[in-house]
Amino acid sequence: MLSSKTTKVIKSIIFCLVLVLCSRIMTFLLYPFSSLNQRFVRYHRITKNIDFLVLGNSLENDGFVPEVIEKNLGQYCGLLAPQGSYPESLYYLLVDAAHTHKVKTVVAGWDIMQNFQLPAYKYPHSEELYREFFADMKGNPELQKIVFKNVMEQRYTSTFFDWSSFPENITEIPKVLESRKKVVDDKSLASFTPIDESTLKTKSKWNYFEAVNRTYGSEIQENDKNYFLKMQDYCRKNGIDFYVISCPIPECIYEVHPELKDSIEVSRKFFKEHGIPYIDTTDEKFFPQITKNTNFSDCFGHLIQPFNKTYTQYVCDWLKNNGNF
Amino acid sequence: MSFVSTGFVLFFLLTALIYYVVPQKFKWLVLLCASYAFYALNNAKSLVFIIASTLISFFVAKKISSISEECEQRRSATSDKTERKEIRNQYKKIKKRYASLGIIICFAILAVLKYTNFVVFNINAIFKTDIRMFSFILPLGISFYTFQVVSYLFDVYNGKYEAEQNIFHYALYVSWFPSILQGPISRYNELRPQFFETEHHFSLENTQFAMQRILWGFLKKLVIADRATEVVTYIFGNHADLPWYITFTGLFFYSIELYADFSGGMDVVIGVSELMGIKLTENFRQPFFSQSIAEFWRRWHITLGTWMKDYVFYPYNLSDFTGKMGKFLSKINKTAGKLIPACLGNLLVFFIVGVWHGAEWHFIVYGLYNGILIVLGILFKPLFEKLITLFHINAQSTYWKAFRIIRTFLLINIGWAFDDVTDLHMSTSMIKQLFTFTNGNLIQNWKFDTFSELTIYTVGLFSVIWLIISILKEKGVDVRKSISKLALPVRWAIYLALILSVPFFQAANMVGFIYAQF
Repeated sequence: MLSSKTTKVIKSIIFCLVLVLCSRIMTFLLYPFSSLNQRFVRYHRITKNIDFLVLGNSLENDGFVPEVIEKNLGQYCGLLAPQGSYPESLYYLLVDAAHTHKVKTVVAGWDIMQNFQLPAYKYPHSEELYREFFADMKGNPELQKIVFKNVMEQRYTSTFFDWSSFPENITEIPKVLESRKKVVDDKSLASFTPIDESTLKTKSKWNYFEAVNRTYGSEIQENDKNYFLKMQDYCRKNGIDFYVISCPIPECIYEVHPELKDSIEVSRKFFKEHGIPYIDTTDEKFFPQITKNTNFSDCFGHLIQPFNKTYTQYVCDWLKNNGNF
Repeated sequence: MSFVSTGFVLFFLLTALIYYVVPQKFKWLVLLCASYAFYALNNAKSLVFIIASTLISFFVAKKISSISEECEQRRSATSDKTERKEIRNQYKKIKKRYASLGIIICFAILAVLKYTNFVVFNINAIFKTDIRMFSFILPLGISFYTFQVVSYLFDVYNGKYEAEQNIFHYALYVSWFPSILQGPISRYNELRPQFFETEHHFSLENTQFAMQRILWGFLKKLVIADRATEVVTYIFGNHADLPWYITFTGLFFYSIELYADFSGGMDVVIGVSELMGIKLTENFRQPFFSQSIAEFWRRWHITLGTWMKDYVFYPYNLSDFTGKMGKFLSKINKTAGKLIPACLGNLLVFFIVGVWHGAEWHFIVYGLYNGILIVLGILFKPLFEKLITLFHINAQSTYWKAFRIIRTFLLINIGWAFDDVTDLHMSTSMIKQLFTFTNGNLIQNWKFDTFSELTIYTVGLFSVIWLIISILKEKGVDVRKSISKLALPVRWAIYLALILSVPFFQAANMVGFIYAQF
């Protein structure tokens, strides 16, 4: 027979295991709201009410300078653009942000190279992003410091339960379950066109090979459409001005993938059809030499500093001329 | 480091782990190191002030104790009663001088850091001057630890106990990390035996109880208080455009917010302390079941109330001045001789309570509002008793008690209009709105921009659960023990529901603890 003390310890361990199991179930059901990967680190400008919200992924994160927006448009800008975000997650980020801030303007990123990629972009689950994030942290003391500070200061619930949520989100559970289904791989990698060795060498530091290795379609995924329309609907209901933006694409990518022009045209058509103002900054129609390779830190379209200031300035000008400013 | 942050959870768990690993004689040292580490992690710069208050009060108390000893030695050397009395009086004066000096210095640090700008602001307003405001840092928990060191000096002066001889022992009492931010205001004679004389061994039952208490505190803070804040902030900020009954609803929600915030914080504090085997004094006892304002202050922020009673009200009551005033008034009217000093004592206490809450006029009015209601209660007590007899009211009946509870609750709610506001102008605007029924005819489908209906439902649901628990506690039921006796599946279901409710229902915005600003 076990002593009463041992029984108590065993019971406590079992209780902890049951708790972890429950928490994993919640993560499974509510992962788009996962606080760890989406609110993590980036969502730091929360001391004041965010009037102008830039939603997106790493393209918007690198491309936008909030201070330039504040100076030009007079609205306090929050940059909520975690790496690897996708239309579905943008919707949840929007709901999350608008729940805590009285947002007036939203500019949501529409990543042409990600959203038209074939096979359809596989949205990473929270655990994968989490793992990637901590892999990035290794050997980066500055990032470690930021993460440590954030972890220590954030609510304990966000650290120990990565699904912290609002009861409002219960209705979204069926959609989450749907998105949990496995995506079948497309075998279209055959369309890859080999490039010559010298170009590859000079451009390898930009992830050139990886970028050109992709193939792009010209159809918008239904799920992406739905979530952009949901965002539009949400903004309309909450009196928020909603804009969509596509960041510039480097000219070296256009050279290899001229079909991206079709993807942009499809996007333009889609947003026009649904009355969503679309800020197309993908090519030189927006402003001269925007696609110059030297403006980018890699071939995926991440802008360099201080060019991002110039870029943000042009976006502000566009908004002043065409938006409600 | 907020009490609801990951940093704090890791901090107290690590402290508890080290605490139970080290031998008994070093346990208090672990707590002292943890307390100072906690303070330094929050604001290292303000360490100098807590150390100053600790050193000053420690050495002054030690001096007072040595004077008392010397006095006793001299008194025991003589058998002449008159001489013994003379010696006592002579030494009492010296002790009083030292005690006053210590108390004045400790209060002066608090006053300079917390109230200088308030004085400057008022001088500028009255004399139309332009004196620059000072940018002093406000050390963490200064109001709480100052009151603790002052209570220690008072008690040593009054001979309640002898002064501590080990400065590090005393430093632990002043800086005890769970209670440094928002109380409870502990007494030295309550904590000393627990820190240094009681053996503490790890107990699973104690840990479970402590964790339950902490969890309950987190739930009150993150789910009830922080969600209620969304409602209160909106209504208070827009009250001028809203009907009076919505403003009153805002005050009602503020009752919930403040109580959940403060008592939730206390649950965390008491739970963390309990984890190390240190029992702190309870700071709340179902305050909204009070039948009078006086009773409310015996149930709400209990340790502040008892501090005021022991170190302001009683010394005032026993002072020569009060004695003389009572005698003088008794010559005119016997009742006045009894009542007026008591009324003035209450007003003094609540004036200080107001000042303690913050360097703002609205806090002072808030304190006086409560003081005046208590004074009115004292003055009209004979009249109320006559009316009860005249109308044949059974004062012991449930209906009468319920009426008194509701009346007290309404009065308390009105008082909040002086508490959570930006200035007195806002308070008067809200009070005027309530009593003139402003915008009463304004009927529309209220759509609030900053919070959803679910926020109201969530606050409502958890407040009802809390109310049921409070009723059980009021009836003497130990809810924690009762739950621990339930069948395992039921018990676990309750615990799991409680744990998972916090991240699920918590408010999106993290708001700091209200009382941690004091």
